[in-house]
Amino acid sequence: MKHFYSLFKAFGVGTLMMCSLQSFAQQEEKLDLFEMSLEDLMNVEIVSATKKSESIFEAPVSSYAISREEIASAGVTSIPEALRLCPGVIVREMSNGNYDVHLRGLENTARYTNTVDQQNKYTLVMIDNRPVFSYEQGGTFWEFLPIDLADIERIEIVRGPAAPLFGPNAATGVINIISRTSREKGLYTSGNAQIAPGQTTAGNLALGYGFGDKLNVTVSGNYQHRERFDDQYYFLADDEFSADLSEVADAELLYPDPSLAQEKYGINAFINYKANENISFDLSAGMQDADVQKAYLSNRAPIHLTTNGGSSQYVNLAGKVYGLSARFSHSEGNYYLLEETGPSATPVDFTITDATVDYQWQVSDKISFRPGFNYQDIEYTANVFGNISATPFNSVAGSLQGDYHPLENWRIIAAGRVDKFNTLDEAYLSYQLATTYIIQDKYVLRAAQSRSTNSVFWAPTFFSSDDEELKLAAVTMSELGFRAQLSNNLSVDADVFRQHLEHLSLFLVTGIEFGTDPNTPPTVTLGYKNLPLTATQYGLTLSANYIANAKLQLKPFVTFQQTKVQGRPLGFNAMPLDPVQNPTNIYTTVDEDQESTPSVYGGFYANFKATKKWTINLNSYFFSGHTLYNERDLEQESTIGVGQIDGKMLLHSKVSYNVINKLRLYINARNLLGSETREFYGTDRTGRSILFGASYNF
Amino acid sequence: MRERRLVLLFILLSIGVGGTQLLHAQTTEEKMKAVFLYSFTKYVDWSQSDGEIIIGVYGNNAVLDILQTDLKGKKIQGKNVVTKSIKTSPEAQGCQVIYLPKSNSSKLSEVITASEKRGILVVTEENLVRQGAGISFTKHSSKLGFILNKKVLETNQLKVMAALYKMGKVI
Repeated sequence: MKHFYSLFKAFGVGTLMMCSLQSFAQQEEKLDLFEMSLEDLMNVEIVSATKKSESIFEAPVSSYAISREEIASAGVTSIPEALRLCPGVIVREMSNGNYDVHLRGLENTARYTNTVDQQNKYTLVMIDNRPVFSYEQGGTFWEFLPIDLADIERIEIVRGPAAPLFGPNAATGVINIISRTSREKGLYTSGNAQIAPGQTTAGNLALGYGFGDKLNVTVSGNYQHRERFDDQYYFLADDEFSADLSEVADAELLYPDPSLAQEKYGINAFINYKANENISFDLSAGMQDADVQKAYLSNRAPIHLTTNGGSSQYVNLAGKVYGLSARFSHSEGNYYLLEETGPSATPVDFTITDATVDYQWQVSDKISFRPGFNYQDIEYTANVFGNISATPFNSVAGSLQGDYHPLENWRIIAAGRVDKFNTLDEAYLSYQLATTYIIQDKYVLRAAQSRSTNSVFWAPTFFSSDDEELKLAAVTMSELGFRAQLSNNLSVDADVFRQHLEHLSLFLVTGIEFGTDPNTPPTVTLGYKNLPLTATQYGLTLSANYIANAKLQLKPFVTFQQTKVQGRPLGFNAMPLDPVQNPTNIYTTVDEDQESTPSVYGGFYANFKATKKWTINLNSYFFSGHTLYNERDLEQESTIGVGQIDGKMLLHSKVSYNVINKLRLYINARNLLGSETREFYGTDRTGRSILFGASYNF
Repeated sequence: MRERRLVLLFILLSIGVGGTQLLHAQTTEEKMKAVFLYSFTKYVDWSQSDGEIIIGVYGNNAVLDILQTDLKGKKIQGKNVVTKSIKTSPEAQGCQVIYLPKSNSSKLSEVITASEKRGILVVTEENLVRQGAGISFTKHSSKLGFILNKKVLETNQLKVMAALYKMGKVI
């Protein structure tokens, strides 16, 4: 009740602000540029609207956008699956609809870690610039996102460290999900429903009203129910797959619905007010509820797949008045890991408030600056490690971006950001230097050097080793890029990158004290600690866009990469070889190739408009074979090769028929070849889905 | 203490530059694109078109909002100018000018098919002239420019005044 009250309050304040600013907007003078000659107009200076309005072709960083149309044409059924349409993203399915997502895969370098530490903790995931990754231990609970594909206009992906331009935790990059903004007048509606009998049911409905040409109010709902493709679980202690839960204690609490992979719903409201091109406000609020079975906190469970679920609410208000942009968001909720009630229940409550202001200051036609400020206040209450009272932490950050055009076709960007977390003495500097040089409007050469750290998370903050302050993991990147419009229907994009990771921290044994009595077990302390490990990654990403003719479009992409790990501890979380000098085992190390990330991965998107009515889409995602590990493997290596992930190529196809103007019927085949090999350590075999659906679009 | 200083610095900065901003009205990219679209239309002979000149904006876009607000009552070559949002090929075929924002660049092939040899001017936000657009916007430093595909314009049976070719870049 308290949660709803605070949300209501925030929503009310937001609405009030929008109303009061409306009168200000109406007083704005109109410039009669329409009466000027075209020659004069070509000398009028313009101001970049936002940092997200960059043309992808001229963007100084390695970026990509997946449009609403591509998402609909390809037939992807969830947000993380949509990321398989983007170069440089590793997406592995754990169970029907639940995915593990990494940008270039610079995680899992320490090899023998638990499932929580195998998550992608270094990527800034946002919805409309609102961070939605978890501040508990890092990683993104994709199933807890309140919006679904139907609410999305596009997904923007930036690969490589980008905190100065985008925000905290952008160590390996940014995934920004941009919601759809309607400008329809009067009543409008849209819907989509698809079903694969016995496997997947997904639907959404949106209803809105446009009050004149400035104010739109939209309410949408989404629902997904997914059954597992597999009936077997991986039992860690026995190193075997079995569907028999009879020996599992509290199985009815840990696995209340063994066949369920995911059930979730979300309800969202969007109020978009646009006074004119200089002044706009967007207010959104929503809630979600989800229950899934995926690999998370698995090392505390007998089975590698665990039940997790949660519900949350949010409100997000963003405004733009000329060059000044501001955003305020508040979210709160709770989730459980392992089981909702019972002896292993690990409920977590959280509250996150985030405020950002930045300003686009165009000094001259060649120079502009963008100062920014960010404040975050975060509170977690969790008993993951025993009963803990609410523990708050906060951060303030200042950033400055400078944009300089020494020549008409040469652009230099320098940006810096300082994050100060109240739980750390040290302030952290992230920087980005980037330049682009455009040749004959057809070729873009670009270079970038950047460094960003991950965010402070709750668990490392309150469970770190006492002897030294935990350093935040940092990624430094050097990148060269080339984009070219080779002919009137072919463009290519290539990135060569080097990324370096340091200051990785993990939850591990931080100390062991042996008593005088050899029969008494030693006292073991656990906590987060930095490892001496570093990792260096080299890679190349190639992508192309080929428009063969008015009917056929092809977009292939591939990444080749190799990661060398230096100083990987041989045996943390195992009994020490030298309990005095090296109690945590982290100083006995080895250099090796990282095996847990595929060295080749990519896909293609092919869209064929056969006739005015029929559209056929074929898209694919593939990765090469690789090996995932778990901390259990340190004690006893799996004899069935559970971590061996075979190379795989998934093929998907959607065939749609335009019945009338806005109504489409379609058949959507996911995993057309029926490949069953597992994509993640100890998780489900995958399966083919044939979905039958209909969509109605406003 | 450091936190407080940061907050204070930012407040001072935003008040300072914010004040300056309001005194010097700046023109956004969307506004300029709307103005350019209107201006392009002046350089094309529409004598063969009946009734009004319809500028169709694919989807919903800030440029559409500006055109609908600012072009009310304006005429080109004696014809009323009407702006509307379009989403389908039949709607596109009813227009004299089609503007394709970059959010809808994937619709280019559909638009080209709909406009072929029908005397329709296709303008794109992204540089798509080599893919078959008639005119595409470009941006250098902080100024807007444009590229024309003469072959496409001629194939589409558009009579474009030579002055427009002189101002833009022609491929």
